[in-house]
Amino acid sequence: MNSAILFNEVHRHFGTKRVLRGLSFAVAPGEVFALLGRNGQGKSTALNILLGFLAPHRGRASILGVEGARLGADERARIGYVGEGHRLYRTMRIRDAIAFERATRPAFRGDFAQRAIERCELDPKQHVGLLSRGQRAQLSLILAVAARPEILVFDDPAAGLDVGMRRALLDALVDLLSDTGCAVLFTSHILSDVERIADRIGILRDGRLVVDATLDDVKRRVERRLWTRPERPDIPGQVRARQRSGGWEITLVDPPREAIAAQNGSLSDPLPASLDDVFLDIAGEDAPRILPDLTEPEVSR
Amino acid sequence: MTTILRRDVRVLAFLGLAIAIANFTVLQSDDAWVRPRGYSLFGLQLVAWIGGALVAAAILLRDALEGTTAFLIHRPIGRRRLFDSMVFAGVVTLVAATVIPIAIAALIGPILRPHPADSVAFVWTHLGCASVGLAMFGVVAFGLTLPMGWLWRGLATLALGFSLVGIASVLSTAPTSNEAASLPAFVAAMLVIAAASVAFARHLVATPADADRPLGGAAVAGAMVAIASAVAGATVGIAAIQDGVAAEVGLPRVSIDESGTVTAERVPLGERWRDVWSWRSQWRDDWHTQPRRGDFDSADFFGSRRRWSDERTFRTTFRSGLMQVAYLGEDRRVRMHPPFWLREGRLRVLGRGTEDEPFADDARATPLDVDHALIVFEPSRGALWRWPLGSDADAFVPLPLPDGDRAVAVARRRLANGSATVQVIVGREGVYAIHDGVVRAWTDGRTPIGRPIATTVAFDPVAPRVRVTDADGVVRFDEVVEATGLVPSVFAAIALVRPPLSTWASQFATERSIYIGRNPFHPVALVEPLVAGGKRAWLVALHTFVGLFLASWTWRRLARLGASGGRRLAWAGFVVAGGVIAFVLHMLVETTRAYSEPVADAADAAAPVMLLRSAS
Repeated sequence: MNSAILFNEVHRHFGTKRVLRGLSFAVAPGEVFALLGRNGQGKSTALNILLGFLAPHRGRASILGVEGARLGADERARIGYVGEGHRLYRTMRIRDAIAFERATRPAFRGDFAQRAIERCELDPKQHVGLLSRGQRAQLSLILAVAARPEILVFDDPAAGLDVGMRRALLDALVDLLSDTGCAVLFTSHILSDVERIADRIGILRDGRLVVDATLDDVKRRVERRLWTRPERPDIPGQVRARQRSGGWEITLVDPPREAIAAQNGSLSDPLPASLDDVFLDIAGEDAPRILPDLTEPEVSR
Repeated sequence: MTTILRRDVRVLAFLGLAIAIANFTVLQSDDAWVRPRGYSLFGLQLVAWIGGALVAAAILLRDALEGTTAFLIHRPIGRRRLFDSMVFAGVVTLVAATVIPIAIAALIGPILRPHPADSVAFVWTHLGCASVGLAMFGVVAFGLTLPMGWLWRGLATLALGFSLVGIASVLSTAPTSNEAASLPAFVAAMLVIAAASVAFARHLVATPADADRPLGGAAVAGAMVAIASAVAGATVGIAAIQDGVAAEVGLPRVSIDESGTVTAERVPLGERWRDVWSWRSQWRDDWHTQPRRGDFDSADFFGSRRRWSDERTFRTTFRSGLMQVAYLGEDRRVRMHPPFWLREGRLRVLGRGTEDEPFADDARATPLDVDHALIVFEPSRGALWRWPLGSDADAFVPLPLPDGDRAVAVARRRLANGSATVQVIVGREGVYAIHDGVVRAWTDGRTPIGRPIATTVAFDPVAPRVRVTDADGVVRFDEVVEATGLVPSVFAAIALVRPPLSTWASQFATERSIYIGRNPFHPVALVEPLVAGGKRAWLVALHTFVGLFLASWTWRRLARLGASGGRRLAWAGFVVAGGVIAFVLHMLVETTRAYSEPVADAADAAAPVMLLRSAS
């Protein structure tokens, strides 16, 4: 299958600090992929490499089959991008911003943008610099989507927005994408948002992807259980064990059923776990630095 | 093509209007309508320098300041076409800011100026300055697209901008110098610089800056161009520093007492360095002329133009050998003479005699303090012409010296009883003063006049050679007046900062070619005066050694970093020719970081782990 986006063993460092150490993943056409990771793990770097703003030291990142450094006008016309902080020209009015986009993007749908602006209750005469963060985020989104992209790339689109603004932004995104079917790659720290719109997530840890799975798989295959004995557990599929009063809280990935059964009741039933919990278990600050090798099972959905 | 014009229409309109208003104001206050072609208009030039730099900076820095670089680049245009669009926006702005004042002037000029000097001259003057603006725009655009960090880009842009000013000052006093014939060539040179800078920048703009990768070949070439330009500019700066030191060292003053004993001593000039320039320019002009006469000091050679031009209420210039005199009124409240006070009909175009024949090419004008007249002195003919200021006379009449003597110089002579000086005419046979149009022999009451003595000084900033001969050609005095103390060493140390290339060229340069440039007050020593004329071969050898040592250092450093052989060779060759400055700049371009490898850590040692993967 052709991938809309493909990272293949991408390496990048800044000074003597490695940021990406062989990042590999693919995003299929029509798929919404969330790239997650703690601050400084290389999410924005990955997007910058993908779009040709930065060059990798090794490996290859391509979008629409073209390496970032070689993206030409034709390819850029098919890619929408909203950068971190929703940077727009602050001295322009909204209507000027729309006119500027229309003049510089052949496929830009002015009427679509106009309708979207009205739906978001933005005033076309308002200066961009006077918009709230949420409004500016909405405008960025509208401008990106109105150019009929085949692929959308967002760098932390909800950063700095309050709950209401985030909700409005996500609603706008869902609305805008509902009839486009384009592939989306976005980074985020707001995992509840990710749960709402992503089909698949990737978690970056130490410059590599440690999770590349659908949300369903993550919820189904990652378990949290309590281990009631005093000694540290060592169960196949165990990713993390934290000592708690009365035992250990452990996180398991694809634990073999027979291994669970063999614990003779020392293991509790699975505890309810959110995506936040899973993320913290795998990529959190106190997650184990050296993860166990669990590469054996590659399970199909 | 209009992308950036659309984006920046407000700020560019504001800047364009500001530049146009500034231009118009300068044109008014500098009385440009009555100026002949090529007249120096410093204010207009300054507006062009600043305007070009501001427009380029406004366009090219906007995205960096607003953080919108990615937002701009990520659209179906392409980096180079975006850059074309930026250049288009800048050129449109600068051209509009030039054309609008001309258009307004064309409309209202005849009303304000019933007797304009020359409309073609006016347009040329304006074009001269506009070309400066375009050149500055190009150079700033080039500097700001260099693939390095913003701090270094800013510094490189400053260096390049000053280099351009230095180069322009070498090419001409100003875009609108008195050298009218040079104006088209000057405009062409500025446009070539603008076009070349923009072409280089366009080449570079496709390569985004990345501190963690060595620059590409094209970027290195661009950086070398920038460095070469900066070195050229720095050379002008070095020359200026050396001249400052030379002024402190002082210049030889030759005096002859009543018994005929000649003495020469260094006289520190300190604050009088401007006069040194004037002295030197006169000196340069007459380098190969016959020896002068008289017991002189540097005051003998003071040019007089600068003294009166800011104080008198008229302006003069030569064009095609004819003198144009704009006789101005003065606003005593502000001690200025704006064009509004130009008295109608007081623009005079005068030649020699009633036939208005053109003056010699080397003719100079000077007002006389005591005679309230304008004197034109033709050194090549040894002739003087006089025109009483404010009179209705319509010709310069000949001013013969007594006994058929030929004039050698119009100079100032110190009076015996103090430091005051008086204007005199120095002839071959005597020194004369003019009063009410009558020439009389002049004496300061101390030195017998008419004694035929000539003096030459072989130029050397730390050890000039003074030679005095009498009328029979007998050398009466021949001595090297060496400077003492640390100054010669300081001078030599400064010389070592020059590019070795220029030092090698200096070895073969004649003394006459030390100074270039049309500006009489700011000639630029592009060759090393300590070496010029084949002097001090040891300095050339030392310079070469320093260049080779630094080149070797460069080679080894780049090899250690892991640069390719071609790159090492290019840089080493560049440092041999460019010297200390090129070496320092090479370190800024070829950073250690760009070649550094990341430090291995525990995560590197661990095998790649995939905890969870779904099938695609």
